[in-house]
Amino acid sequence: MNRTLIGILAVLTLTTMSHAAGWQGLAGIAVITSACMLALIYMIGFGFGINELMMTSKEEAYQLVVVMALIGGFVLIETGGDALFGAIIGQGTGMQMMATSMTASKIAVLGGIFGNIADAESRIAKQGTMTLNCNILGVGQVVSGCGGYSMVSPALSGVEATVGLAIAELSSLTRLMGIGMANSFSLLLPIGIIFRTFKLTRGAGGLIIGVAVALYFVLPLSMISMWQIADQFKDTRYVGTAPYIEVPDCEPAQTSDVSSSEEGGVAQGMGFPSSNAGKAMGIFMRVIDAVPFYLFPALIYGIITPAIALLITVASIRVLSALGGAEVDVSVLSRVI
Amino acid sequence: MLPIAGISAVATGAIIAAVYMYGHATSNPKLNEWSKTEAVQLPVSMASVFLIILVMNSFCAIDINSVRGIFGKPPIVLATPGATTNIYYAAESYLVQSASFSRDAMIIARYHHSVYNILLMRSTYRCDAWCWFGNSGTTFQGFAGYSGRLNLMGLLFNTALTSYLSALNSLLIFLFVKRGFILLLLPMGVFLRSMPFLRTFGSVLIALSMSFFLIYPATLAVFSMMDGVFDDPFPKDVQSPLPGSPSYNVKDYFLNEANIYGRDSETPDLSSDAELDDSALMGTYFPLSGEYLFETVEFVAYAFIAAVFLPTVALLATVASVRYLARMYGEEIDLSRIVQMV
Repeated sequence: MNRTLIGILAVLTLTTMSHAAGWQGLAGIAVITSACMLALIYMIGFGFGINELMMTSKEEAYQLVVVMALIGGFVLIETGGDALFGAIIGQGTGMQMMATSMTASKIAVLGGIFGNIADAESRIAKQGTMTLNCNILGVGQVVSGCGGYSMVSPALSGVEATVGLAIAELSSLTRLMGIGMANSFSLLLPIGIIFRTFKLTRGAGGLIIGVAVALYFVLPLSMISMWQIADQFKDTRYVGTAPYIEVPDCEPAQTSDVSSSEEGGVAQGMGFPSSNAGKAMGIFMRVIDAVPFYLFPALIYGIITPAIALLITVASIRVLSALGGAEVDVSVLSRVI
Repeated sequence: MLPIAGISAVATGAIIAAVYMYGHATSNPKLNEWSKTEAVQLPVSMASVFLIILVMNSFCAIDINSVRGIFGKPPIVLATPGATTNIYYAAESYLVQSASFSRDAMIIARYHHSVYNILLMRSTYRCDAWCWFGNSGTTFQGFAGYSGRLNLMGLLFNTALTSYLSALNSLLIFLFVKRGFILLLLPMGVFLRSMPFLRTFGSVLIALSMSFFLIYPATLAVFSMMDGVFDDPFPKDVQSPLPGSPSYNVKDYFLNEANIYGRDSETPDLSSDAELDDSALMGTYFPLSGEYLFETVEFVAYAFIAAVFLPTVALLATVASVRYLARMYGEEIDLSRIVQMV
């Protein structure tokens, strides 16, 4: 009993940790706070002769030792993880910063693709809306000779929306990683430790610890890993700049072959048939050739791999929260004490 | 709540005493054992009631600004002057702020959606000949290429709307809990936990009360202290294109009611250059340095994280706590020495 009381009070020597910089200090304060509460409970039990309170505080003190071991593990991972990660990839950048910069570069690439699609769609759609109006004294006709161009716009609209959603998904991951970097160890971990100390809040504390560790370590690591895997197994046919989609002008009045006209000659010079229908079909084939170059980076780097990384992160939250909230078998520790 | 819990405890105690007396009178060892066991468990259940009251009072007494100061965060700016900045206030303020954040995202997405819709409908007629007593010319839509952006804004608006509704859902759950209705489950749990075959159910009721009244607000209060959750991607200080005009906060521009509702039907002035000039028309709706399309996309994504993901994590923490506490209360809490004494 005296050894237990001394052991609990010995934890108070962690006071020196409160002077440490960063989240370690806050975690130390959290441990000290929890230890003080347990010491108070033990002293009350000792003073009133309530053995159950003393037993409870001893049991919770063992759990606190487990938490301290977890903190030590986090410190090791944080200080050694960046070095190990840098040794593996050959760069000195930290994992979180690398994931953030990779995400930003992917967003920039998708932004450029979005701009290219918007430009092509704008040129095609404008031509597709052209109609000829002609009337004299209320009698006339409307000729829509460019209707064939309008079939291409919906396809590009769908691709544009997909790329936009990929940008949104990467932006949300950027925000999650930012929240993890700013708050995991300075706020979530210390509070999770305090919650975990007490039996009643152990489940919630374990989840908060799991979320903190997952956002700080697992999410950036899984993002980098998935993109590395995607780079290894990508289809090289669709890597690089998409072919430029040339859009010949449409003449709304021309509803037949006009190869002998000036406009028909210009179209033929660009590699298109001279009729409006032929031009539309030529644009359509060029769009078909270009769409994989747009969709591949959006789907692979912007939607599928981030979705897998998020699944890994959520699964890790479940495992880590069980680890953080599960009660370690204290029978061996009690024999040691 | 306390009187109802007291009545529940007294009623349960009376039942236990009656069963004990009947068991003693009929020399039924099973009834005696049950009544002795429940006589120990009933104080445990009542201790939970007092624990909730104690922690609840602590949450009401703790100044969240002091806690924020410990973690180096700035104090909360009070929406209602003189309000008490306790844990429950911090939790509610987070949910209100997340609803407001997602509402702003919805407004900006809708603004862009409406503008692109108007631009898509814009049609230009270029008369080539006989323009006085007839006409011959070409009609075209110069902004027809905005259909993709219109589709994207429609999807983003639905996402922002989902985020807004999710934030409101979380806020309404919190307000429901804050009103104390869930505390009515406590007396039921105290009574049912001591009844035969209903210990697990009673423990679930007690666990629900404790988790939703303590864990849920505490987790939300923690999230309210996090940095970077409500940062928007719009530039804060954009120089106005008009000489002599002050610089703009882009987000405030899109949210300014004068810019949204100042036009009767969001159509341009017929006498303005916007009628004839496409770039002047664009400048009517986006007078700053661009459409800020990508910033709008990012803003909707950030609103999703703040209004859906984080409140969901808070609810998961609460549910995890319910399971943990229900498992703990569902078992007979071992107070071996006291049992032996009884």
